[in-house]
Amino acid sequence: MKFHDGSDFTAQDVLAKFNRARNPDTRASGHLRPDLYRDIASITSPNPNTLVFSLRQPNNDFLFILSRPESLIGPRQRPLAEQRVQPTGTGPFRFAAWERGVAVRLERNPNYYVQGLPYLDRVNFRFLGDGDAQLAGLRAGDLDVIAYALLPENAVVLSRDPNFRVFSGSATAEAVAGFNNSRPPFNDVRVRRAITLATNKDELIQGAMLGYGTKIGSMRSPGEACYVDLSNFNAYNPEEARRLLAEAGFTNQNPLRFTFNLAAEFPYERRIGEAMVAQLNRLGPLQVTIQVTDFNTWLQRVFRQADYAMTIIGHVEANDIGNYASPNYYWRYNNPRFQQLFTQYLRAPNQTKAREALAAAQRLLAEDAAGVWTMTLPALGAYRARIQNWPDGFLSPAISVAEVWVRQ
Amino acid sequence: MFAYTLRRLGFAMVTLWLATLLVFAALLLIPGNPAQAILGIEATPANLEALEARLGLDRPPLERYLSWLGGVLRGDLGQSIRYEQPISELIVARLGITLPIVVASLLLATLIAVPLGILAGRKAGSPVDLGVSVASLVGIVLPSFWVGLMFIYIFIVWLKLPLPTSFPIGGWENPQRALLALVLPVLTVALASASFLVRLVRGSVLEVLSQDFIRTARAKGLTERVVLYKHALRNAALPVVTVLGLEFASLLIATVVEMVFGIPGLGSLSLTAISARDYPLVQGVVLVIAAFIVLMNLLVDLLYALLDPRVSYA
Repeated sequence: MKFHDGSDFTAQDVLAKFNRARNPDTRASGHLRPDLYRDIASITSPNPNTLVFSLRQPNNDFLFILSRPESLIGPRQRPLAEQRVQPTGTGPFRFAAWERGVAVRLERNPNYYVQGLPYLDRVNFRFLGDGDAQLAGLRAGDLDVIAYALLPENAVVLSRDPNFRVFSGSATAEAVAGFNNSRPPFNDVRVRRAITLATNKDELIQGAMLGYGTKIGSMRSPGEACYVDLSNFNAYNPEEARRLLAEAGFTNQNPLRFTFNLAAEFPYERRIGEAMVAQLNRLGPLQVTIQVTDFNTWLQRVFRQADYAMTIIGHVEANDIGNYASPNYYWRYNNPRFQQLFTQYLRAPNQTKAREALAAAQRLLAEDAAGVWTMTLPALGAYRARIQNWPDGFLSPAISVAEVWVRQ
Repeated sequence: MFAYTLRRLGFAMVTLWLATLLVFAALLLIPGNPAQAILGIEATPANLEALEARLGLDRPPLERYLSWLGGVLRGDLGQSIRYEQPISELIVARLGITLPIVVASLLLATLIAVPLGILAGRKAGSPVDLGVSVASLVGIVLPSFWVGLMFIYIFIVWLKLPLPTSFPIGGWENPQRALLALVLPVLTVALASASFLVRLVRGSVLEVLSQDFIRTARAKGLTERVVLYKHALRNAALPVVTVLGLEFASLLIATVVEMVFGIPGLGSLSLTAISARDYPLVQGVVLVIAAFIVLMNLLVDLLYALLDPRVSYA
């Protein structure tokens, strides 16, 4: 197996990569997430084709971590700074150019280790931020595929046109309406449960996303391992919501007032958040105002300082339920029982035990109403009918186009 | 006039310096930083602090500003955090797309607006005037993003003209396609600019035509042609030139049109820079735009002296 630059791909490259990535001195290594690799005790390579990872303790997420973008492997002598802007790998396509703010150009790798693949000679990924510009480009034939974040209304229009195919595949992006669990009133489980019961998720999926989206009830998507269907747990029930709020001391006369933060850049979450606030305000004992900021301001105020009451954001990362186990994460959810369950999952000696622990963790989150998991956002896109084999979903940030071909 | 120009250039330097200081202070006030933008919602406090230190964000603001300013004085705008590329290269590439659009749109707008404005001004109250006024009002009211999208659907999707809907990958490597990609954006921007320019031309022609010196010129027995083109237009041109100068500067960051037509211009660069909190890139873009504004103002003032003999900078 060879890298795109012609050098041999060996166990030594992998070894060098992970030794650098786990170095706690990020200034020296250039890597950003040494915490991911903390459980590695040692890596050895008995021969050029074998690598042995020894872990300090069992880690059920270890294979998942090895598939993260941080774990991409390049030639060992290549500086990380170069690898970041001009990556070299072993994949079906080799990197040709990154036109800043415009596109990434890829070319067929003739030495790809799977014989006969890829089919395409070139793939260009164009960055077009405006949904309507994307649609116009697809219609005019300048684009073959809208790969990410097609607007639901454009999806409806394109799905009626025989020249195009719309895909709404599985993804791992939970649109989480998160509470600041550490502060009143959301340190009271009755209030959190009331907000959940006042949220009509079916209406959000139909109204804000025109049907594109999958109802969920905890921090896990149907496409992920160990998923438990809790989508009808704490289902829409305004009477019960009012009763719980009254118990907590909030009525129509003395309503609960709070601010709901939205980040402007995300079209799906923004419209879901606005619709959800409208639902909450319909209840009576709630008076919610919306505050929209740019994402970086959101990162500072909401994410970093946890200076907020409620917010919504898409957690696109796969397998991210563990964030609820960090009391300092912006939800400020501090439940020792959950932390214990998550550790049980992570350190479980076998798959059965891991599945049991993670199922219990999902149930506990839902019972605790630690957030409102409104829906899993779809991997929504569209392509011209002549494009064949386009992957209709993605469980990682990568889209594999190795087997895509074009019908002439 | 030479001394005047020199003095103005000196002022320009001070203005530019003040602009960078202002922007730097504003960037300190807005929440967020580039490390957060890079790490997103998976960041742990330790990762964030490490990256902030690596990007030099833990240094005192004054030190950061001075080191940036020192670089600028040596002709080095620094490296973009987001794009990991020299900022001067990024800005030059973007100007190579934005400048042709701005220059061509303003030329086209002037070519449309000046004759129509004169016509409407001379025949004030006539059906021609009414027609021009209504058309310009429509042009002002319609938002550019909508006009742009309509142009794409009319010219490309329906009429099937061989125009790209966005700036081509590879940019000017393919000059013909790149030029074609600029046709509709130029048309969109020109239409918007011409719409309000025509009202301005009409207004100033009307105003000048009612002045005493025009009555005198007519009383001397000069033909209407000479009155209009020799006496009226030169005077009517003053406000138009001023506005064109301002328009030039504001079009440099015509972000909306860039979004619709997928144009990687200076506007989208500045937008990305701000949302990524790419401080050196924001500083660089602002410096370049401010330089253009100062330069255009200087040009406008010098044009005044050419157009109006009463204005003298001696």
